Amino acid sequence: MLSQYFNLSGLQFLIALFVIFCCLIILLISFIAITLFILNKRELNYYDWKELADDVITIAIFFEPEDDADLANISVIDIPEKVKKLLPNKYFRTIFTNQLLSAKENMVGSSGDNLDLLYTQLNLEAFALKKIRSKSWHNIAKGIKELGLMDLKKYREDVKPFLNYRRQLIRIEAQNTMLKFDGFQGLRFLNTATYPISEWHQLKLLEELAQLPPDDFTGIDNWLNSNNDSVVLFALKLVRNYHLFQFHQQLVQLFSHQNEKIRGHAIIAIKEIPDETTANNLMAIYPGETLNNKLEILSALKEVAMNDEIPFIVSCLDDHATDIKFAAATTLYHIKPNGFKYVLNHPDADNEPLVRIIKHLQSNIE
Amino acid sequence: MRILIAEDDQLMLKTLEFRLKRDGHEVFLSRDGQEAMKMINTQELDLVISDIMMPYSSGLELIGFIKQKFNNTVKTIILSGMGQENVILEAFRLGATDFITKPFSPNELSMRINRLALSN
Amino acid sequence: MIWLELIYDLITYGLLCYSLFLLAGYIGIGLYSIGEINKYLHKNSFTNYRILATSNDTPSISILAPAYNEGANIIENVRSLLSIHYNNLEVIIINDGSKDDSINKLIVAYDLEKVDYFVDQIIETKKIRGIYKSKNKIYRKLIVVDKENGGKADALNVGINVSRNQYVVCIDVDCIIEQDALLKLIKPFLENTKERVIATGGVVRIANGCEIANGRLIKVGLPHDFLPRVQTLEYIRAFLLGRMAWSRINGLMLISGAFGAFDREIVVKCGGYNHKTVGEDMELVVRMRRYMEEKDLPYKVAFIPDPLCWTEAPASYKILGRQRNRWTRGTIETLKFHKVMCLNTNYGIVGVLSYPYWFFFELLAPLVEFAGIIIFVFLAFFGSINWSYFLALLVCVYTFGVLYSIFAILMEVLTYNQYRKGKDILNLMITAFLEPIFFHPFVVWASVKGNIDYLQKKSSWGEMTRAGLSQPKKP
Repeated sequence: MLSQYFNLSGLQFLIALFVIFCCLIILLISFIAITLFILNKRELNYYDWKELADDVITIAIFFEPEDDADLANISVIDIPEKVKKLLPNKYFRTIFTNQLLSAKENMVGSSGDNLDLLYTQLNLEAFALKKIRSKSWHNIAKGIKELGLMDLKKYREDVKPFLNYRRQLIRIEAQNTMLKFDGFQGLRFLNTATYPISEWHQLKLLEELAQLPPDDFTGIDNWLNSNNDSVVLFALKLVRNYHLFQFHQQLVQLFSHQNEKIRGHAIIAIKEIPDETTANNLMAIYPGETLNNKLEILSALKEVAMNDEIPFIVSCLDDHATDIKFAAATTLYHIKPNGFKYVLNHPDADNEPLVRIIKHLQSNIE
Repeated sequence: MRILIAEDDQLMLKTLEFRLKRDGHEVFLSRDGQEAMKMINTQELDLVISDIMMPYSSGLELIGFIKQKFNNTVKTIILSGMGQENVILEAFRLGATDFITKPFSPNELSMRINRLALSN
Repeated sequence: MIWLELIYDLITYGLLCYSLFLLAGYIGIGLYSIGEINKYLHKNSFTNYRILATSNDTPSISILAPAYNEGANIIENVRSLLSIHYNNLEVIIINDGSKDDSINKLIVAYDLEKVDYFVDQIIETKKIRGIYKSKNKIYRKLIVVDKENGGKADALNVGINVSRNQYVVCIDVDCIIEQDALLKLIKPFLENTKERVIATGGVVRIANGCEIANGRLIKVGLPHDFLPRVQTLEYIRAFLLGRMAWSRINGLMLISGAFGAFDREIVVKCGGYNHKTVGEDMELVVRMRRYMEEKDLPYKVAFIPDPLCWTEAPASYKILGRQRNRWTRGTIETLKFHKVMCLNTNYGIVGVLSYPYWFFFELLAPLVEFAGIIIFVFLAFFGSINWSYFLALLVCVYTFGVLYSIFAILMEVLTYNQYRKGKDILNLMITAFLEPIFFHPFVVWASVKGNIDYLQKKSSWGEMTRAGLSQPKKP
């Protein structure tokens, strides 16, 4: 019968499948065994080698050259034989470099200089350069980061090509490294950045800047007018964080930007650099704004509003959105000495939700 | 002085121990807030150097606890990468004796500690 | 009886095709996921999460932790939440009308006092009895809400109402959270420039067998008992192989209820959690996706392959059965609520791929298996079984199941390698051989029962009983 024929074939097919599966299982189990073996061996080495690296680095940190030592002679720190023998091993070198970089991030002064000395003495910069020239993206990024941490400014031109690279991670590392090299001047790349700069990326840049000694920003007026919205946002954060009063007028201009987020950030930033016109400017744009931005405006008014602005804010108490009522009441509460009275005397003060909002504000919850 | 270091970075711990021992102090180590608390309760200490971001608890909590229990007999120094104004103010409000931001100079730290030792 | 043999052939070849399709799908997903995980691990090595925890420019987050009869452990659990290093953070504990003394314990331990906190009831919930804050400044991030019992979804909705921050992180209060977990979870929201990330989830791992002290994970270990151990294997398969691939094509439909972050604005616009389903975690994600699809806004549901949270798994068949029953009912309810999306190109990847996958493979697979068994019994009764063929089929299916598990174990070793000891891996592999016999049939049965219970419209709301375990949740 036809089906009999199929069954036989089917059976053979199944048996073949079974054999294939079994072979694969054995193959995979061997992979697992081998991988485990390698990983466990590595781990054993990891702790020992990390100790070793830490010891050398600690000694190097507190190294004091002899008074009559020749400072041009770089082979001055004593390296144990064991370490010298292990350096060609890539894994050891990675551990050692990581520990050295970690220490460098934590220390300045003569200790930091000593770490530079150690780094150069062991010729680790050759390996950093090798990483930059590698094909794998994470090695490139590692190499760039290393050059930055060790402040190897002479390789600036090697890092520059990566500033507008298509892969985000490499762009970030390159930009951060330029900041380390050139300080605030390193932000030049913002003039020509075509890729959007993510919020995360901006956070990293701001952190990097926070580590640098304060300096002048040249270029913010360009960046505030950039076509790249993320550059505008970043510039607004700079204005805010560093209290750059000279850009007040430009911020007011940004209140009519088409991107809601930019308008929002401009509102947030302007409360750090207020002048006597800020409150009026904020109230002017209020009617046409989105709900979120209206809340930002009321929050900003907390800082900049005075008695003249009170009637406007009181009118916000009549808005049907509870969020607005809450924000307006909070703002009035912060306008001393009489702002809060206007909330208490509002016709709806005994109704929901104002009655609860008032209780909240009165109990002064942070 | 008898000094306790609370820091979760192994290398930092080692470095500080090395330097402080060389300066002639007796050094105790702890890798997180809990270990530190234990040490504080069992050992007689003159100074606690602590990071802020550690597993299990914040260095600031540690500072608050020490100030509450020992008032000024046990001095405290915060050694942290968190250098924002609000953090520094909070640390002093909680009773820290000094605040050093990372990256720092071990020489500077050593000087400040020696000054503290002299003022005892 | 030619027609009987024909039917027989059709069924067996049908099952075979279904299984082969499954096989190809699994392998494809597996390989795809590996690439993504490795990419993530590399990227991760460049991130110093500590530095970012201290920045002032990070977005505001509220951690929402509903608590019901947590009793003895609640103090430690809250403490470990409060020790998370993040600047703009508030921790909102919602006491869902516990019958024990949870709320009093909290009031004493954290020096709480009742305050007139204003809450805008955007989402309708059961009544709030009181809101508490600490008199001690060290605990200023803590808000404790006491409310009438209403279930997990209702409690989370209260938390959403109370929170005024940008993102909400919904967790199970007894889950152990890793140190940098919050930052890792938030990162996708900040990294994406093309789409709006509306939710992110991470990997949930099994805490049985791990060394835990004071609400912290000290050492990872494989569970001693068979049942939690086989679930460990299950979780490894589901998370390492499945989720990553789904997330990459933006087709993820489920974020673990144990630990997930959401864009509060979107959650509110969708109306919060649905308390009419037992699968509220999955239902919310699907509803949020539907909302974004209907508004035609670019969005993404992201996934972090890092183990971020550890939870206790059921150790007895009874409780496991209840859990799987509940998951099945939750899946049915969710799929039913949103059946408009099925094979509907208006709903993008979710409509075309994810929803059908959940329906045909997650929901129907156990039913198909069960039907297969019934048919087998039926045919055996009539003596129409070609035993050698059938045995070969059975052995093939078994071996395939084992193969897939071994593949998952290999992936685990190559990526996170949480279980380092050779002994543990050997144990896991043995478990892989035992699973199809001692575990899988039980799960299939629990799933079938779930379908039956659903059809009988059994509702499991009212009081949520916790038998010393965290709430049963989908991985």
